[in-house]
Amino acid sequence: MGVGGTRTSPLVRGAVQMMYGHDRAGDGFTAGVIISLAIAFWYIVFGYEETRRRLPWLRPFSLIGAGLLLVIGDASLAAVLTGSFFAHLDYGKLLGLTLPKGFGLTTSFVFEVAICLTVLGGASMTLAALGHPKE
Amino acid sequence: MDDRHAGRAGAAVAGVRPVAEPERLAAFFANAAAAAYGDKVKVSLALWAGITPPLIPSIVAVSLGFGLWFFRGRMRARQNRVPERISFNAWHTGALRLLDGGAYLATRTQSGQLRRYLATMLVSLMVLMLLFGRIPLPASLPPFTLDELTILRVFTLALATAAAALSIFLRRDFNAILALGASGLSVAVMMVLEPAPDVALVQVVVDILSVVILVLALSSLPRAQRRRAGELTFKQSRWGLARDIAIAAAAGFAVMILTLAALTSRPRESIVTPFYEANAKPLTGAADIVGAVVVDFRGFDTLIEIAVFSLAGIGVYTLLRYAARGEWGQGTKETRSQGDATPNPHSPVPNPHSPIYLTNTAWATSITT
Repeated sequence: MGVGGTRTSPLVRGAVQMMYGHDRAGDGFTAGVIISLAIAFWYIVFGYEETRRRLPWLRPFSLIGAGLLLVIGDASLAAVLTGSFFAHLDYGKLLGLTLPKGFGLTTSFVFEVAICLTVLGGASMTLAALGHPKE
Repeated sequence: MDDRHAGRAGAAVAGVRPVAEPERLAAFFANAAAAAYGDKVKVSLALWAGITPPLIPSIVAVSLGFGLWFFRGRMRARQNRVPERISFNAWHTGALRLLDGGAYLATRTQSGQLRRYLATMLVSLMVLMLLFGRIPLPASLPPFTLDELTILRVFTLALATAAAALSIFLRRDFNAILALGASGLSVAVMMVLEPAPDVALVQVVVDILSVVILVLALSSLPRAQRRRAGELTFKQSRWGLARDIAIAAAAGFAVMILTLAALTSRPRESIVTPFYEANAKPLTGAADIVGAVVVDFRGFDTLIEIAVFSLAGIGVYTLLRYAARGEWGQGTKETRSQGDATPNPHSPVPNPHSPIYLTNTAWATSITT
């Protein structure tokens, strides 16, 4: 989703930050804020109602809940498998997955995704409240 | 005995039946306790561990409770003979009245003006620093070398300060917001020069988001209120202007002293940095130590931070949507449609006469004046 042709640019940028944030600058928080900024531009360009119509997945409460549940579930799964809550686990190695070089499907990556969802939900909630047409 | 009673009896027996394998549960608790304690913790679980010191007060408390229940008739009769004005009910009612009175007094101190609250906080900070500060200032400052990096740092610092000052003096709100954004981006450049690329990236994105949010908030304010806010800044008396400049300058000086003391009194040898440098890659697979600290070593802190961020977003959404619609304390849609304006005590919206509601509306009013 983007303005002016590059529909997936902010989502791709956010995904890159989450996948490779462990080795360079960037993490789930910056990914969530970048996607929120793209949504803010959609509010400005298309207006509130049209943006809500085009982005049916944009439900802030659900995003926040999904993020928090994801991180608690991830940490609990690590507790079940290793005995320690929030322990570091490499799911890719456990499942024998072939992944791109430099990327690991770990508890850290799942945590970054959860942070992105939560930040996206919180920021889009604020933008929705401010961008809502006044009665 | 019918099926329902049989089911209940079975559940009661199952509840008092000894746990088949408490070892797994004990191991789970031992792991959790060890993570907090930093060393191995022995945990043993048993339904009966003998007469222990924690058991004796429990026996006493349960016996007292049973005795009170058994003799409840006599206790009630005795209680009824106590005069009403010194009874427990009277104490309870008096305590609640005291609390309400204190809350009412507290709201009387709320003038509803954000500038007054800000001035009070800043002056209090400076008074506390003067009275109890004992801030250790360095005997001498580190040597100042004029190289390219220092020149760049001084330039970006000047840029950030100038943009922040411009945001005060620019009359048009939109231009002031852009100046504030420029100041934030200059701070991001300073962080890049440190070098702190993670912090700089966060500063850039948050600064842009802040500008967008401020513009959206500005567009929802009536023009007349924005003009009034501008007049408050630029058309006040000389005495008021001098007072505000003095408070701002003193607060800036106090923050400068605090920052200088904090930066120059850090221990030269860090305890945690060598641990993170040695263990970030082996334990977490992360080359970026900042990322490893945020999501692995200090994962709990990050979990609580995202929970707080979510609550802040929900709070802003609730305040803006419900307060803007004027639905505070007007009851539910059903009572309003029936012409009943009495606040519903079971409604999640607050009572308009409660101190909390008055404080919130005072805040909402103050940011627009």
